[in-house]
Amino acid sequence: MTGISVETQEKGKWIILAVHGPINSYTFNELQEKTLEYQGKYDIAVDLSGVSSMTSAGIGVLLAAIEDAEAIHKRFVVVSPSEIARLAIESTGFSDRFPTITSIKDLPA
Amino acid sequence: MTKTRLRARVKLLPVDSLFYNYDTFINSLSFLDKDQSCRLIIVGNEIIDNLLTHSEINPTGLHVLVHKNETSILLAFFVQSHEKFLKFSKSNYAKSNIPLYFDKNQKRWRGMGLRMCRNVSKSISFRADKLIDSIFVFF
Repeated sequence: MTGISVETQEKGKWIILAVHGPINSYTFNELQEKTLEYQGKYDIAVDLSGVSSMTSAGIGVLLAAIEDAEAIHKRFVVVSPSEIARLAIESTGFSDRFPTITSIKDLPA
Repeated sequence: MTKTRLRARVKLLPVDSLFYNYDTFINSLSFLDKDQSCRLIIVGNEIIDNLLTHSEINPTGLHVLVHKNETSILLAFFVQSHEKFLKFSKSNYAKSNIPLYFDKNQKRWRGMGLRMCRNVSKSISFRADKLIDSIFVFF
């Protein structure tokens, strides 16, 4: 797979964005567009279980979305990151900035 | 004591599937465990991302070498030399961690990629030569 797909699913106040594929400078636009589309309308959960790799470009999109959500008092969580996505987030040195849950079932109401 | 040396190399062309081809190469190396593969993919994707963004991979391609022994893993990248790489290799970015900052004009964090690479590896170094630019990452 050379691009990413972002599937959306509504669940109460939440919109779930399930990302599949590699997130890098050439693919992040689709995820960025989705987060911007739903920002302010929903709380956002980004499911990273299908992510095959993630560069700083992807990290940047997530950080921006987290900061935007905080600024307007909306919630943002990362869901079930794949091993490589988890390691990429940890490698930034501030993984505490990425609220993470292990399953969609754990989304708060 | 028997010395174990395992190595593999690949030439990657600047095509749309370059990231995929790199990831497939790393995932095919049976002498790497899952954690090691993840670290090499994170660093490799970051390096390829930057080389592509700065148009530093020409049609001669990108050569990648992985060499594992008892104590470490070397991941090396070789590309035809490029002026931007020479400038970067002499910068403070290449020599040490500098504080992250948010570039408001480009709307992105600067220095994030290198920080990620340094945090999942033991060391990373850059060498600009007349013909070939090289990046050496030890894990």
